Amino acid sequence: MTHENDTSEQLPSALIDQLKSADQPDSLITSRVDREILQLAESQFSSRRAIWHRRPAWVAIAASVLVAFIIVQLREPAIVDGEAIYADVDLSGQIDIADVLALARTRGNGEKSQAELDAFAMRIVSLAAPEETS
Amino acid sequence: MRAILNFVICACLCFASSALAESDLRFASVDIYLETSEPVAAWQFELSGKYGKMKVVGVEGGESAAYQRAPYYDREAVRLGEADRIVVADYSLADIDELPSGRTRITTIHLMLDSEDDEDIESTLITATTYDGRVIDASISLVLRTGSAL
Repeated sequence: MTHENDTSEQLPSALIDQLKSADQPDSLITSRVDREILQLAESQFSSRRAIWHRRPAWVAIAASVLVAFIIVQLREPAIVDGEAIYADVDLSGQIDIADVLALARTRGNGEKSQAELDAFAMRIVSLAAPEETS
Repeated sequence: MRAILNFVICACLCFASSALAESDLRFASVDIYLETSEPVAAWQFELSGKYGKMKVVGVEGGESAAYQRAPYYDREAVRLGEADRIVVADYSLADIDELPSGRTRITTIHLMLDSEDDEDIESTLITATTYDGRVIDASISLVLRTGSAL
C-alpha cells in the first residue's frame, strides 16, 4: 500500500504549502489553561453533583415512609362492627346470646369471623342500651 | 408547713375510714347456678341489686369445661366502677356431650355491696338454649359468699 506522502513531491508546491498549514493546530491550549478550564468546570458542576447525590437519599426516605405507612395500614385490624350483624337471627322475637350462637353455627361457611361474633355478643351485654338487651 | 400538711392528710384518712365504716361496704362473690334438663349451649341473665348499693368488680368463668373462659359482660362499665347491674352471657360450640346439664355453676360474679343478704340481689334468666338454638325450660339461682368488710 502506497502512502499519500510518498507521492507529495508530484503535487504543486503551493498546494503542498496549503496542506501543511492546514495540518497545524489553530491555537495551542497550554496545560495552565487546561487546568483553569478544569477548575472552572469542577466549581460549576460540584453544586449540581451535591444535589444529585442528595436527591436519592430524600427519595429513599420518602419511599420508606410511604411503604411504612402502607404496611401499618394493612396490618391494622379492621374495625369490627357489631351493629352490622346485630339482629334477631333466630327470629325468637328478641336479640340475645342465642342469636350469636345461631350465627356461630354458620361459621363453618366462613360467613362470620370470631371478632364479629365477639362484637355482637358484647353489644348484647352492653349496659349502654338496656332496652335492647332482652 | 409540714405539720399542717400532716394534719390535713390525717384528717382525710380519718374521714375516709369513717365513711367506709359507716357504709358497711364489703366484697362478696356470687355463684350463679343454672339448672336445665338438657345440655345448655347458650345462656344469658341479668344480675342487679334490689335495694342496696351493688358494684360489680369482676366476672369469672364457670365450672364446666365448655364455659371456663370468662363470659361476655360489659367490661368497660365494670372497669369504670359503673356496673350497678350487669348482663352476663356466653355460648359454647362444644359437642353436645361436653355441654353441661342439670345444676351447674355457669359463672361467679365478684361484687362490692352493703348487704349480706342474698335476697337483696336479683338474678333474671333471659335465655338458655340447646346446641341447635331451642329454648330450654331452665331456672337460675345464686349463692352469695360474703367477704370481709372494707
